[in-house]
Amino acid sequence: MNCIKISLSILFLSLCILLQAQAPYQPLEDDNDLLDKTLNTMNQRFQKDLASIKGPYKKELKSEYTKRFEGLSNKLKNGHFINNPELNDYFNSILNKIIAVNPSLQNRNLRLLISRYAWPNASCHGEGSIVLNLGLISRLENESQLAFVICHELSHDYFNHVNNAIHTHVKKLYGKETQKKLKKISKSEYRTNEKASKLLQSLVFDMRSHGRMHEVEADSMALVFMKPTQYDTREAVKCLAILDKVDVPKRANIIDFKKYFETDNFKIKDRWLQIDEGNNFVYNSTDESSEVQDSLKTHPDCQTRIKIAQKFAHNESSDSVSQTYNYFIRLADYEIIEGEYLFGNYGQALFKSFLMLEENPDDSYLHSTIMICLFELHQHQQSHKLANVLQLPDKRFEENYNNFLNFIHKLRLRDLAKLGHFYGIKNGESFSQNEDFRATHLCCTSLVQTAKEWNQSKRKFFADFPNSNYSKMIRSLNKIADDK
Amino acid sequence: MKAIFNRILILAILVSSAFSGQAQKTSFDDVRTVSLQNSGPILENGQVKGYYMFYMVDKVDRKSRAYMLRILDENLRDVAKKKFIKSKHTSLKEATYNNKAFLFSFVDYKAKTLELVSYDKEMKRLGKRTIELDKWALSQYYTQGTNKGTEMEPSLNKMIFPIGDRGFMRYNMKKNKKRKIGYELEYLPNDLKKSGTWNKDSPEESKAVLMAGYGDANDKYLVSSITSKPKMLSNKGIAFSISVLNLETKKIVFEKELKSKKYIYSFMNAFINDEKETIMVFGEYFNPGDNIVKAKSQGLCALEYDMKGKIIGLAHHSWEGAIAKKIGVDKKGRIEDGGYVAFHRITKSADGHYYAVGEMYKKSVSGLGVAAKMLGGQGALVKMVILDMIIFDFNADLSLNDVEVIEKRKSDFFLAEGMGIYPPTLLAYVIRAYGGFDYSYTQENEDKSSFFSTFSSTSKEKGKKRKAYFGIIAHTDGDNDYVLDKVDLSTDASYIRVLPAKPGYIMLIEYFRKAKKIETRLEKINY
Repeated sequence: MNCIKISLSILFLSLCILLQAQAPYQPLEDDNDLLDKTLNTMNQRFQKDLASIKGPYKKELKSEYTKRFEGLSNKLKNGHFINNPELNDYFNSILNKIIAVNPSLQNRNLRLLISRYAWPNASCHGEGSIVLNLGLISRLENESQLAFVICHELSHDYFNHVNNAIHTHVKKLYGKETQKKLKKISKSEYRTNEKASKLLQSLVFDMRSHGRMHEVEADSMALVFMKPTQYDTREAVKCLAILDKVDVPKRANIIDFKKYFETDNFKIKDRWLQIDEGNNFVYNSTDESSEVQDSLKTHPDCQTRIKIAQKFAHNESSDSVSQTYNYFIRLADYEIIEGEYLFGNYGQALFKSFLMLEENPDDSYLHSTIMICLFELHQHQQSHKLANVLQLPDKRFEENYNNFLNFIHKLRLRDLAKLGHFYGIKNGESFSQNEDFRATHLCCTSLVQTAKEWNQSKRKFFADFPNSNYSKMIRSLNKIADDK
Repeated sequence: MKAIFNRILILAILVSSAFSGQAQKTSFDDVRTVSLQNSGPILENGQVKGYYMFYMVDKVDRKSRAYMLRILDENLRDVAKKKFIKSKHTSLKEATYNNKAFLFSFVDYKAKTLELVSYDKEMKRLGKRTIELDKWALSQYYTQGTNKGTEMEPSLNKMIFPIGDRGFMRYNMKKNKKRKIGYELEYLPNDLKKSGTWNKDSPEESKAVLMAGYGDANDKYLVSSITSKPKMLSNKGIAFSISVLNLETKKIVFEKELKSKKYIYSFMNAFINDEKETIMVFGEYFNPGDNIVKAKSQGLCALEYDMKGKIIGLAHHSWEGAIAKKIGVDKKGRIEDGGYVAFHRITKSADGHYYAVGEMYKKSVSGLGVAAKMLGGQGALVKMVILDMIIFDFNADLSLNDVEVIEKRKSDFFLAEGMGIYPPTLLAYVIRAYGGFDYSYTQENEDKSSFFSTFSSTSKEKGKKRKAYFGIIAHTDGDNDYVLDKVDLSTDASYIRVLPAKPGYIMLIEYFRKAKKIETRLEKINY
């Protein structure tokens, strides 16, 4: 039965690939039944894990397991993961292929979740969930490379690295020795912070050194799990090489703002494109946020891992379904944009849409996303909440992105209002019958047109699309036009 | 994306929070506490280049504390952290940057010392100097930084100014041989070495009280305002002068009392015209013999000096003449129903216009004071009412172009008993000294094409609670209008503070008491 289901899925996918190669992108829709099913499976495993906790730190461990479960399930409920049968079936089929030929991985209640996160990473949560970020799917080249990543995370689960780390940390933190030291520190009048920091650092450093050892162990075991599968273990080396260069952006085309926005009535001012030199400070502080980010790149040096992986006795099977994977690379790129938009990261969604547009200039989804993001940026700037949705320029960012941020931040509110409107005029010729394009352009138009002009534009839109899905949203814009 | 916010946890800086909250156990949160003592912008020639945050991190012994100085850039990115041990009476008062060096001023109130420490761009220490402070000098630091949002206003809060990228000028008060209060202008090289330090102080034999304030500076000249009066606690006989110091020769180029054949003048702002090598001084003008502090001025004036101290340009705009033509002024010089004008700052724009930013105020009967008197208590029967903002726009030829009133909700400043008899102009000095005006600061963008004047106020919509907001009046060359942007300060934070930021932005510091955390963010000004 499963074989028939997988075959049908592949047939459906092949059709999708043919049909969607040039068609405008349509964002994936979530399936609530699939979400409920995943939550149920997670809950079953969670209850089982809770029941298995024994020993002196039962309460603390239960608390940690509960936090982990609640954290993941909240993210699932709040749109951090994609719950789409087409996508989930495909990636879980890779997981199932690996498990099928590795008896030691069977009956472990494992599942693969696809997160909307843009950074290239995968993670094992120790409670059966293996998470693949869209950002990673986008950067890898074929199924074999992805299979290696999944095998790596399966190895963490196999060795129980995550749960062992939680147990070790809880034991250390709540153990007699640490508690004795902490109590002594809390009673001391002087240098309490210094003493507590040193104690905490010793615990953290110890954990990190163990973590690095686990990564090498997981790489080795991943190749063992991969060998009996149809996947090419030599791709593991290529996968690590890709991860080694993951800081180099996938798309580096410079955004030509004049090309996208300039019309006879609207010119991009040179000073908007000038890059601020900023100060000449020398930065020597540590960046804590990058330390926290658990990317594969922060594992032991990739070059070291490549050398170890090269020594493995590789099989010579070939990657059989790379065409299908290419389809999911494109899908991941689009869903990353969709995810940024859904998370309210309008600056990121806008920037990534521009980059994708160079390859897909006729895609109405990208044009519409650009206009709706410009509209949202305007609204957030007007209410002094721009910092929530657009980053500040920073020399640490990739140059292209930094230039983009510099451009948007140089705009006064009145100029930002014009951008989306003139973008629609400049690029709208081929999309006069496209509802998404016209609706998002109408949003931007509400920021610049007088109430009378905007009412005319609105009437024209509803004449063309009398039963528009956007009617509620458009009506909510009346106030913006009236307030001008 | 959440990294946009620069979260500074007062408690639990690292990962300990994940393991806290177990009642019977001791957590790291219980023992690791860090408190923010002070924060402010790091300025270079009036531009915000970054911020400093000064934390007390540990008790070292009975007398000393461990502090951490954290430097952020203008985008709130961490630049450096420095830890040091100082007396528990230490306060960081000021931070200045001159494109090559940072200079920090630490005051130890118990030891009565000022410690100056300079760092290079890599935050490697360049030098250190400790200066003993007498009671007059120390008194300046008690009030420094107490006025709301006035970090950008040199006349109110800054005592150290960058001189090119080679050093700094420190303004200080000190007693001379005649035991009169005088001023001290001390040049400090970046490394703070004694050999590179030089002074230009008020005359030791002066029988008058002399106080100096920063006016303007370029690589060659420093312009200071000098206020003289016979006695420290007297308002009689006050006169203003400007003093121009050549920073290369270390000699006074000229020092002139602000007066002409017909009038005497007060000092508001000075600008060096680099191209013409002239000094432009703005102020108010008075009849000879008037007490500048108490009398109502005749109007606004601008004086242009050449480098010999000769007045080569003069413009007077009387309340009843030129100003009345632009906006209604009564015979007492009060603007319509608005009252008197207290000028806060004059700024020069790239197109040559000068903008004088002021705030209107008037005396009024204090219901609270009257009620207190009736109940046998204390309090002045009159109060000062702070009214709308007002901006005077002067053309490059110093003719008055326009006057604009920007409305805001009025606020009250209550006077101490007996103060009600003083004239409004004198009371304006009192309001300013106590930070009673709503005005905060004015800043320009780097090419001077826009300026932003700020104030804090409240708004009230029908049926809703009164809301606090931060007002920003923006003007851009070429625009015919002033834009008023209002930033809502009614957030979930237990405490919110607005600091100046890079041009076009404001910086918000929000403290959340329950979560024990501080969030900082930059927000764009809508203009």
